[in-house]
Amino acid sequence: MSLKMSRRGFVKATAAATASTLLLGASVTAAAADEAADGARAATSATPSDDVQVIPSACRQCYGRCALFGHVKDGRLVKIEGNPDLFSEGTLCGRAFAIPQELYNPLRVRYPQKRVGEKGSGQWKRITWEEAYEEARDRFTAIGEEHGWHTIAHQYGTGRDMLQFQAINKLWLELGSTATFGVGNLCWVGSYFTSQRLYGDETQYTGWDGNNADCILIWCRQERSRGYYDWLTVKRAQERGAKVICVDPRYTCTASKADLWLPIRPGSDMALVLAFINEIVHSDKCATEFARFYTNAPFFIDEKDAEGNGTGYQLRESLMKEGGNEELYPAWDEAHDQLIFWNGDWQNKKGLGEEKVFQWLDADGNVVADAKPALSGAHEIDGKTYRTSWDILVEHVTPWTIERAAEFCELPEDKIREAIQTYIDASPHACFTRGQKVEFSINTSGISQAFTIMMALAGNFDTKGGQNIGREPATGYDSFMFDVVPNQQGRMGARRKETAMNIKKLSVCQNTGYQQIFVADNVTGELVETTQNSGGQVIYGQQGGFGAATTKAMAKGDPFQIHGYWQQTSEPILSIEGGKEIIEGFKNLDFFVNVDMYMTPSGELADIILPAAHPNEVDRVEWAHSGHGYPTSHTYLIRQPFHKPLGECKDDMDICFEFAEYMGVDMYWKDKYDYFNYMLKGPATLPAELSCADFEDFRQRVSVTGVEMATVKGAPKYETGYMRKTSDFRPGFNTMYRGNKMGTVYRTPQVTLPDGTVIPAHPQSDNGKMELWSEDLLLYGNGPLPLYIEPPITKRSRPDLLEEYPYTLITGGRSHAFFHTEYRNSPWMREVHMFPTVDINPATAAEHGIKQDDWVYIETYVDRIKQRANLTAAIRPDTIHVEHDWWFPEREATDDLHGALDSNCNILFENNGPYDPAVGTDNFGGLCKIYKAEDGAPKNICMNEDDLKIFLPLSADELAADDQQNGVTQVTK
Amino acid sequence: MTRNIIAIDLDSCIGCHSCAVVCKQENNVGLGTYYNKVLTVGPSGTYPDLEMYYLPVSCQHCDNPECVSVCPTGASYKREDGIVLVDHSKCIGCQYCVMACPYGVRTYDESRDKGVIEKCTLCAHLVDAGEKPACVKHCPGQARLFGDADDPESDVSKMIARKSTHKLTDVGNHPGVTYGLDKFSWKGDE
Amino acid sequence: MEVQWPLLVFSVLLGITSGSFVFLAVGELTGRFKNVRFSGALIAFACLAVGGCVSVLHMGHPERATHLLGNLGSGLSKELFAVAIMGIVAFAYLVLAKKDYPGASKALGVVGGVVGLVLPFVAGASYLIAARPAWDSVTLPLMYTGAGLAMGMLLMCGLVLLGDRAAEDGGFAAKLALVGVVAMVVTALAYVAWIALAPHQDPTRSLERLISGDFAVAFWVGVVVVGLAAPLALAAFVCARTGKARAAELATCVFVAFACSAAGAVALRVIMYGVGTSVERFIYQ
Repeated sequence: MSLKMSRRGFVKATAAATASTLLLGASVTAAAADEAADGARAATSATPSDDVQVIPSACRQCYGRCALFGHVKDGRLVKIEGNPDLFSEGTLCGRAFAIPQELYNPLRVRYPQKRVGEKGSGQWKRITWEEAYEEARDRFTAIGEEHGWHTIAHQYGTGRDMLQFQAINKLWLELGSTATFGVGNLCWVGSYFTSQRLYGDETQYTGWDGNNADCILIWCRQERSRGYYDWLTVKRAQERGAKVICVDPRYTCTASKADLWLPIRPGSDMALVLAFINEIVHSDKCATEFARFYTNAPFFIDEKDAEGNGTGYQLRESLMKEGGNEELYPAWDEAHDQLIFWNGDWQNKKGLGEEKVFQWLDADGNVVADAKPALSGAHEIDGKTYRTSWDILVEHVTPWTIERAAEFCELPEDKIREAIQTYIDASPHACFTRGQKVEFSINTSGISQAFTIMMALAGNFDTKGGQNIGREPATGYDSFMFDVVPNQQGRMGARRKETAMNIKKLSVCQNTGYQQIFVADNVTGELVETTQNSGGQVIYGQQGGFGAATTKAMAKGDPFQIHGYWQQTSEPILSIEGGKEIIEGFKNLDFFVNVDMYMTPSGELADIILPAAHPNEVDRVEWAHSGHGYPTSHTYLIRQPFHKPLGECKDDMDICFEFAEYMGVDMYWKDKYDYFNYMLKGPATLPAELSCADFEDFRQRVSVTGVEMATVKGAPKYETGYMRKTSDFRPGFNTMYRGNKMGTVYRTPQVTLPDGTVIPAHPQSDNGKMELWSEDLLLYGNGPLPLYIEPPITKRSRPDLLEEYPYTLITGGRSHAFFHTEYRNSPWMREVHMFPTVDINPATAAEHGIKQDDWVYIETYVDRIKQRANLTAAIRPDTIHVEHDWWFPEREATDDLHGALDSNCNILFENNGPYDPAVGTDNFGGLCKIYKAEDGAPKNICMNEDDLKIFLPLSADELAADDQQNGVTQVTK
Repeated sequence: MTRNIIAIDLDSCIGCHSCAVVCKQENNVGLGTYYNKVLTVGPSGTYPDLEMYYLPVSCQHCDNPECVSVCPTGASYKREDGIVLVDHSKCIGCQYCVMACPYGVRTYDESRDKGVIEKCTLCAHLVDAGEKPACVKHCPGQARLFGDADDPESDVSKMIARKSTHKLTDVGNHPGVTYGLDKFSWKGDE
Repeated sequence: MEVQWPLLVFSVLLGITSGSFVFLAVGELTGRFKNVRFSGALIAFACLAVGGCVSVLHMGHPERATHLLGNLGSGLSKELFAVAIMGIVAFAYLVLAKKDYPGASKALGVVGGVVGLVLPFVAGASYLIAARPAWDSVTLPLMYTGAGLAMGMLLMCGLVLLGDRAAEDGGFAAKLALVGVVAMVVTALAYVAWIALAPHQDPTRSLERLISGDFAVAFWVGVVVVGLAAPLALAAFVCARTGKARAAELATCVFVAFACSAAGAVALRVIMYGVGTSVERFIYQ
């Protein structure tokens, strides 16, 4: 070969890829097409042979969880192939093929490390697991005992899977930790929280039956962001004649495939949803009988009158008279012209009798079997006139005409009309799915409520081609049972209970209370600045934190100083607003443990790094996340290891179980398999063919697909009792998850607000009805009905900024090459998408002398970042889109924490609110200016394919040769 | 006679680059070399009246491949079943085929320790084993089809019969890959 | 596409070889230039040898040249044969020129002249590729031939003017050189006209790139002024002044004209590669 080299003379000696022979280590992939391949080629290729094991598993490289096979030779993954037998139909996106590049990446942490230099110096020394656990135990215990356990924050990001999330959550809740950055509240929690509150499910992410739909409404979701196989469903629907409507400010792939695209003004979505609801309630397709019998629409509302009397809550008998029952909800019976009462006391706490639960009763307590509760019509009871929640809802949405939506959304009226009509015409065979971006707002709960009302009143709940509400895990048991079962068994630890009791004092959220927002006046449609009460506790999912609140606690000691921190599968510096302040906070910490696969920006500020196994090095029960149709939505599949974890890496779940032992925490489950076995066995009522004896049985079966109860029973689940999580199989819904699982999250009764009003006592409302008008959202401060709230930094809310920052800035559109912060160190994915890219309309670019591929600054009143310009007509001339989660693993720790600040869009936004009152979601859009970066690209980044060779996988020999005694060897270009 | 071709339903293609990446795995393709590229055509027009489609481009396995006729050594050749291949043991790396190919799908990868021309093999090693090319097997949109153009029952023939079809610019080489596109107008030369 | 420098240098050098042999062949037929035959053939041979070596740099595996018989119909194979024949003829002529074998030299010289006319044409014909419209015309190999004639003849003319028979052969040599330069001017302009007229017009291969675009300097200065106008003026001047001015001074003019022609040939080839874009506009090279 050297002879050839010398004769070729001008060959670049630094050859990008002799490397190619290392791409997959010893490759079994063939290039046998060259029948007479030369020696070099023959050496790197081989035909598949008996010594290759083919292992069925699942992909964890996005939410889609596609089924795949790993080809393993000599203990090394050499090839990924799609599994045609499951829902992904053998298809795989590019990220799956990059798995070997993740496994054998040079930046992978393979042994526990302890920091020996300054924070951010990148100086580490290998330690043993025992040393790491012992130090973590001692330091965390010291902090807990000196400052209180609530001063230790914990964090879980989008993460490696839901079961691992349960383990982290349980470990730290039991230890008394409260604060988290709560990454979920900027993607999924808003929807999850709201739909759980309204009817006990998470429909907006669990199910849409595209297989049978006549219309698919896709709101800000990309075909190629996650679970690409959904596109097969959508295109087959289109081929069948179904209409696809896409709502998105950008002309995305989805927009290009849609039959109708609504290029909506960023942040104005609520106006459009309200117009949908308005048209639906006034159409003859409106699901009034559903509203009448399964929702709280007929309930009277105890509105405040002119004198300020009235609680504002749903009316109960207890609010009407002394000694009245708070589980009796009055309504008017059209059939018999009488006042009737819904008995919501399914727990029989108020003594209304088991047999009368979820029935309409007359004034004497007798069941009125043929009652017809009136949706509409005010009634005077004891001198006070009450309106139904239906009438209030209709009054609320009626001003939201197509004309008004057109004005707010900057859309043509005819396009809105066509979209709404198409959706209504197709209902009840119309389904809706959305992306996360809709929720990146301070109104995430409200918009989720509005979508829920839209779907429900269009009659699309649990219909063929509609929304398959009620997640039905393959065996009946979901991941949350990990925590529910021990709690039901009374195994909740004392510290956790005590923390829950005192959450008001122990949560970092205690100072959030009032905020200025711009709300559209329902009557005039004018934006009005309003003070919003945020309910006092802005939390969900975790028991006390959201990004900004935890940041303030760490960085400013507000409301108290956080001293300790356990982080697993997360990178808040990149994913949470105010990244620079988060760095400041991490520098304040006394002790910080990071569990991750790679050296990351925040990891460089930790004291100890624990090396996590790759998702394809561990056993797991896996399922597709984020909303799909049958059978995808009802399938468990195995994710099993291709080989043992590299070096001393460990499964995230095992790390939690092991550390729990060091900390003396009762995890209830012996180990992960103990829980897997429980989950896979399912309840006693489960048909035998769906039940696995244990995980080993599951390993043999590879997957289990459950059944759709609506199909089995021939009726929607809310009619047959399958929406009830209580297993009482009563028709109706659950709203039992009111409040945080760890304590009250409501405005405290009897507290006096700044305007002088006193919060009245409020009973629970868990009565089997779906709430359209939401008492919970009223209590959180969002308001009982979805409000149009203009985002805080837009052309309409901040005209004062326009002169300097004339463009609308939007963030976070998904790149198919990455999954959040992941893959910036994958050579193949970076080849697909090399640079952080800002989309700008060519006309706008021309005004600023910006050309294709120029590096530009995007600047807000907070900060500026640099990305590379892509001139595209896909975006409005007045709008700029920047990509999220960009860092440069090719840069040193000392070089801005691996380049965490140059292109990180989240430093462009402040973290001082306003937030969504219920879930704490911050604002991630604004106004900006843009100009050419005369200094060009960020320094020290990979600029071409040749540079990417630094990320090529290490060979088995190279891995063996480096035991990371002094940390992970940084690769630079 | 079998005439193996790729047909791509552009209405189904979501431009996800899966085909480009799986190709690298299957054929051990080096960084900076692409057997298979995915181009974005558009968006053209003025916001919001836009058209856009994705165009995967790899060797077209032409009926009358110019790369084969200009190859001085016979290293570039066309098999009986229509697949155009490069015999690396005969390739002298003169790159005339690179110039002759209208589609820029041949790469002279001097850095690859080879000094030979690389390009899509239509995964001939898989085809010979009775399988489909890796890009076809894994395409998330099932947009890529593979089969015998002379068999009316093959996937490719059925797609071609069903949709308006297009070819990349033909200057006598007669490209073999057929693109189906109904939703938008084809932006290339015919 | 990007400039292929080894091929470009090769094509210029083999042009010199070719033009030189055409000049020498005319000399053999007219009984002139005996005194420069060896030195001229040596230079011509050297150019071919150097050019051949440079062109090898273009290839990844020149050691597999045995396979070159694999497809005799290909342009490159033809080119290789033409080069080989030229090389053999040039070498044989060179050996004979050292001694005095008038018959053999004449025969070989004429063969060399014929091969000299064919070689640049064959070399240029390799670029007749339908995929690259700006190349796909007979004007391209003609342009190669024209440039070769000008460069080779100017070089040989200069040798004659420096030699001891300048007085006798100088005038004829200068006229020959002028013919060569005229051939270059005509064929170069014809090729530029082709760029303007080629089918599948596209901004990447438009005449505008030459007239006012990114190749304007290369075109106006490199090709038109230096490459064509200057050699033409100098060759005409030398023709007019032979017998009147000192041969050595005229030789200088001729060498300058040669250098200008060579520079122009390089410039035009740089442009040629630049406009050699593919007919498929989705592909950006």
